[in-house]
Amino acid sequence: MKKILTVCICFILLFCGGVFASEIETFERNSSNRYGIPKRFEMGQKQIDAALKTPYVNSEELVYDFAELFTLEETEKLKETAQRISKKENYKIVIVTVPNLGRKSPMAYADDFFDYNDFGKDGILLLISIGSRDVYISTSGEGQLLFDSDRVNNTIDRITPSLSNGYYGNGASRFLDLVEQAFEKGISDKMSLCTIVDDLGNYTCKKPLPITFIILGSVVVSFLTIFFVTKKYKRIKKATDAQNYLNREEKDLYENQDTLINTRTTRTYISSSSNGGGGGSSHSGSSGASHGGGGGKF
Amino acid sequence: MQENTLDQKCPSCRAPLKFSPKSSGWDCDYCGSHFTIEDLEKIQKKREKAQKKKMNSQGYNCKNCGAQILVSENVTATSCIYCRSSAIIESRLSNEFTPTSVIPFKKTKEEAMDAFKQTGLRRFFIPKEFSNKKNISEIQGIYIPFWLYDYKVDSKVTGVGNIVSSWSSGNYIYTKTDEYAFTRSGVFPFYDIPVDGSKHFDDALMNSIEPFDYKELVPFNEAYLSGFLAEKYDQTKEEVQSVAINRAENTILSEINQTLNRYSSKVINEKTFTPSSFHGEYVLLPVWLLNIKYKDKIYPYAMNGQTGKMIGDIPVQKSKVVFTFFILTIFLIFITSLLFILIGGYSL
Repeated sequence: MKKILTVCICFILLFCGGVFASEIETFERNSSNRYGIPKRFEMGQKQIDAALKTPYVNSEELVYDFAELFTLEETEKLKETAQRISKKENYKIVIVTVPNLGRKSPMAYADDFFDYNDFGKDGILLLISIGSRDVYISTSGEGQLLFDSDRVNNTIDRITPSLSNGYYGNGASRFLDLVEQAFEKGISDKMSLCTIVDDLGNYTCKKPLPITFIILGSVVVSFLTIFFVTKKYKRIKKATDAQNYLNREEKDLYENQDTLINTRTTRTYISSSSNGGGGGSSHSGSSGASHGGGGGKF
Repeated sequence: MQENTLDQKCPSCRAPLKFSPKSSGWDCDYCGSHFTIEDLEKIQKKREKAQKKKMNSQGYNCKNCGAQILVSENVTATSCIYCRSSAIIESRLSNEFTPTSVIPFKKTKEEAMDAFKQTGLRRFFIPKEFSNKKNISEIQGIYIPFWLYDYKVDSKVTGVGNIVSSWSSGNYIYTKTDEYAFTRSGVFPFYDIPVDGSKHFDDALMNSIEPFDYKELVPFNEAYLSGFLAEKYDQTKEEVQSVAINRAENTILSEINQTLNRYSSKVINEKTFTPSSFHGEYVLLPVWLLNIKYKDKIYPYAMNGQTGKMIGDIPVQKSKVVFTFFILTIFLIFITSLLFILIGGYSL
């Protein structure tokens, strides 16, 4: 009797697990649905290969807990918050957890997940890979400007302790809080000089005018100009030489001797450090879309 | 103290006779006679004999109108303040005060005035009122006493110089320093370095109107002074010779320096100057002087009476300078900002 009960319970648990897993609705990618690749991207072999390795999900859900790290209530709450923010701001705020990343890097997985689903252009995606213990935030479109590298790094730093301690739900909701805060603060001064220039999310930034430098430079230049012009107004000068009165034909430099008395050679070692400056903070995914982001281990 | 004035009068009609820079002779405005230096020398000798007989023990009186003329002790030629006829104080030009030669004026008073008016024309910061006539004192043609020094000097300079070369090989930069001991010896002959022999003419101002063309030096004759002011020296040949020597030595050092420019650094250990000949000559050189009074400050101007070189400090109108500074600064800020935005891709 006991054995039957255990088997039953196991069966119910398995069934329940199956029910939980089946809550994430996925579709099949095939040529008739363009492999789920949005129209703004090219559809080459590279894109198809990458898309086929990416789950095709219902883009309205926004929270995809493939690794089952959240409780039911947590999932519901996260979904509610993510959907509320997304609707209000016309962004897609996405949370994905996966058991492992396959052969992709966290960056590539996160970028592909956003690009090869119907999330649109603008969004911020949090990826947690429990197998490799990676956490990664990928930003797309306007999200690159709103959630710039400073905010991404700050968010990663703030949520990593929760994730390390196994409070995945807390970490994810902390992420949503920080995203909401970012919306309240708006785009930072630095990034407000940037504009998205194409459908792929590429953006160009104007550098802020170095106004202090320009003012100081102008003051110095005009001061020097006037100084040298007015200096010419002082024309009475004491003569200190007699160049005009030296008879150069009669001048006779009869001794002109140079004797080498000493030679020294020293050598200094050149250290071959050629660290270039850091690259830009944006990169392109397999789709060709521009993304920002950052991540770390927990 | 006995002093005689010698006025130049036309030997034909006795009208006042003045040296004309234009014709390099003496023209009588009244009877149109023209005299050369030779003519006047003859007449002068005759008259000297006559004058010695009737010496005036009271000082000196104008030979033209008889008025007493008061002049400072160094003046040798002036004009009578009453009748404007020229007066030359002969006794002050005798013996050691007789210049060996003189360069006669070539530039007229009008040319000097024109030259002065030109100085301010293209200057931006000059106050408008500066070249206004009412600020200009009377322009004076003065023969200024100068010492001309001939100085021949044997000079020797020794020192140590470095030539540094560097190259890189592998991961090293090599620096080679060659140290040389150098000696430069030479004879440097200077001719006619001018130093003014009068305390009350500014040395720098006199330096600024150099050079004079000494080819036009002529043997001194008092007759050249008529119509102009003249002074005798009050600084002897020995008192001011150091000025000429310093100028010569500076020139020698810069000449020698030019032969040392292959050294990237050098130290001069020893320099000796051994004069082989030194000689000073007393001459009178022609200078037009005028003073401009602007805002309670006197701006002295001098023109070389031979070459026409006009020198003097030009005052700067402060309000114009400040205004220009602000306008220029704002303009530069505007232009650079525009360039940054249009070319550099910067944004406000």
